[in-house]
Amino acid sequence: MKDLILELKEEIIEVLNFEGMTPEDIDENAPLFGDGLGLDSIDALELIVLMEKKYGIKLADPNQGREIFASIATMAAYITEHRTK
Amino acid sequence: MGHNQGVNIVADCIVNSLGFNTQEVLDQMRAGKLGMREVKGITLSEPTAMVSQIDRVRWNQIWDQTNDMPSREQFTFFEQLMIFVIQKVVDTAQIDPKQENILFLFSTTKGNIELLDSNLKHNFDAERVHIWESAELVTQHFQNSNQPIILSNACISGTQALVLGKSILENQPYEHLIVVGADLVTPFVVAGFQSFKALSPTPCRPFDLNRNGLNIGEGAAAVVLSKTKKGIVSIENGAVTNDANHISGPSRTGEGLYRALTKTLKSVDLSEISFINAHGTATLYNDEMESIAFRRANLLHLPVNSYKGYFGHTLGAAGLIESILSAHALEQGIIFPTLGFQELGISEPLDIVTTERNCNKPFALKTASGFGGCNVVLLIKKGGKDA
Amino acid sequence: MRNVQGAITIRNHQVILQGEILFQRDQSMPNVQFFSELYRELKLAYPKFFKMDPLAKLGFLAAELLLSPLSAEDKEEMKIFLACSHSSIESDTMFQNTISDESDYYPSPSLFVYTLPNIVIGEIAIRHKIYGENSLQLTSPLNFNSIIKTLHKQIKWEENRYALIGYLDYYNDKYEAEFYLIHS
Repeated sequence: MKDLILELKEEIIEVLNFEGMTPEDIDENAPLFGDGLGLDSIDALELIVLMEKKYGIKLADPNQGREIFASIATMAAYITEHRTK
Repeated sequence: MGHNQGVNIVADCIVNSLGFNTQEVLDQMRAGKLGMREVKGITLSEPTAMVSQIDRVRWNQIWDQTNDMPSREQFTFFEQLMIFVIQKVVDTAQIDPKQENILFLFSTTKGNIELLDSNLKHNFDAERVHIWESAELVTQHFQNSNQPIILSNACISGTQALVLGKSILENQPYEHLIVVGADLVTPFVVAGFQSFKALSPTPCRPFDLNRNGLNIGEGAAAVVLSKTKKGIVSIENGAVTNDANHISGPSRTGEGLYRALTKTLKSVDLSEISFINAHGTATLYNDEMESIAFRRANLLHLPVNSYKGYFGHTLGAAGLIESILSAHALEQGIIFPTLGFQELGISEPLDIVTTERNCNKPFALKTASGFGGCNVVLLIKKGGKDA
Repeated sequence: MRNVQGAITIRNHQVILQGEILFQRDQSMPNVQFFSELYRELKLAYPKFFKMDPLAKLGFLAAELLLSPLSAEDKEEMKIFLACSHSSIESDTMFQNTISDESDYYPSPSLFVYTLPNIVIGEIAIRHKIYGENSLQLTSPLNFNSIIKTLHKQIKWEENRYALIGYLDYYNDKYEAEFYLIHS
């Protein structure tokens, strides 16, 4: 799980183009949206792409993403359970 | 030229999925025709997309049957469309595009973006992907030597071009402006809007309870704006604002659109307005935002329509195409229904037009909003002003 | 041009504000790193900056330096008239790359959002709470010298208003920005 959390932080920095940020700057339990990392609805769509591309998880309903993408930790838990690659 | 001579639309031409000139498009709309079709294989994201495209076979025939046109192969489809609509409006207005007192004003978002795709076979120079390159080729074709203005302000560009055009004619020594807008249905744009989950797989339904996204459309339009010739409508006023809120989502409070409405309506009696032709893209957030802005501006008594249900969202051409259609509707005393609308699905009780109505008040409003948080409102008046 | 209250150029890894060199780095530095270093130098706490495409970063930084002395009231109704040559071609190309290869086809929404040149105006407007008129125009790079005057002529001046007028461009690893702050 720890490796996955680090991997997710690196992926998010990469796909959301947070250039200059390091994994240590992100708290895995902090909210990704709103006050935490400040992600928005477009970033949520990007995370849906990441889930499919990297972990083979297809989220048909974008609203499902709200709970899954609450934090890095919730994402990691969901991926561990549902990944197909 | 008198003192307050006004700026008039003296000629116009539209090409889109419904027709190859303004009259054809108007006739098809009055017959309730739908321009969208389910097309296979535009992108790999979805097997089909509901888009509004120009029939390319008929296009080639019409081009070849039209007098004085250059050889088609010299120009991309995007450039062909612009040349065609410009030729039509200069013929109608009987102006010579070479003249020094004529300026070209272009409006587009993506131009020849297809040329970026290395899988696409074509014979054009890679530089043609740059919009100024296309615009300069078109102005050179018409032998006009003024540096063209090219507006690329997302989805408000077409309407904003008319607001800017009025200001240029009033403050600079040009007599006529040729305003042209065009954008295409491309895999680039369709894939992009698919990635936003913003496209409806069925014909779009502006302001409807069950609306689920927009349809991409293509089209081109041109008008001659003039300060010496009389036309069907005059450009009375207009304003452009920004939401200062989000680069892709519209403001929840309709702030920018509300501000643009307030500025535009300063000098007009609200009971003199026949209708509002809204942006009405049929995305959840856009239509809701518009309803809030219209309520804040005390416009709930006005009939509202959107033309997106007929021929989709034609991007950088949309505002120009829809302004032209609104000008003709105002002149003919009709208000078009909102094709696709059935049940009110926004939080404010807008009077969405569902069947054709008559109107006789002198003014109409056109609004648009776009990515980057931009908004525009245009006020037109029937009859034009005396030159 | 009359009533110029501020001027900035950013090119060749050198920032010149009001005629004086404010910041510079060796030209061998990658462009985006240069933008990041300038951001840090300005001590801004605006993490969204890192997500912007290079064109938006460039415009954001130039605007930041010119507009920071102004009050919220000064900025609220400010006009922003910008021009560029190569539109959003950097982001266009990057987005195209996400849809060119059938075996690796994932259109990126966060790239697509930057495939319009006026997004830079949106970023500046959000940062400074600017609700006024805004316009993004395109022009040939050969026309660089006259475009700022052309934009200036288009502005309808109202009393006691500011306008941000400028040219910026980012193409093939080359960039430049030249912005003016004008008061009516």
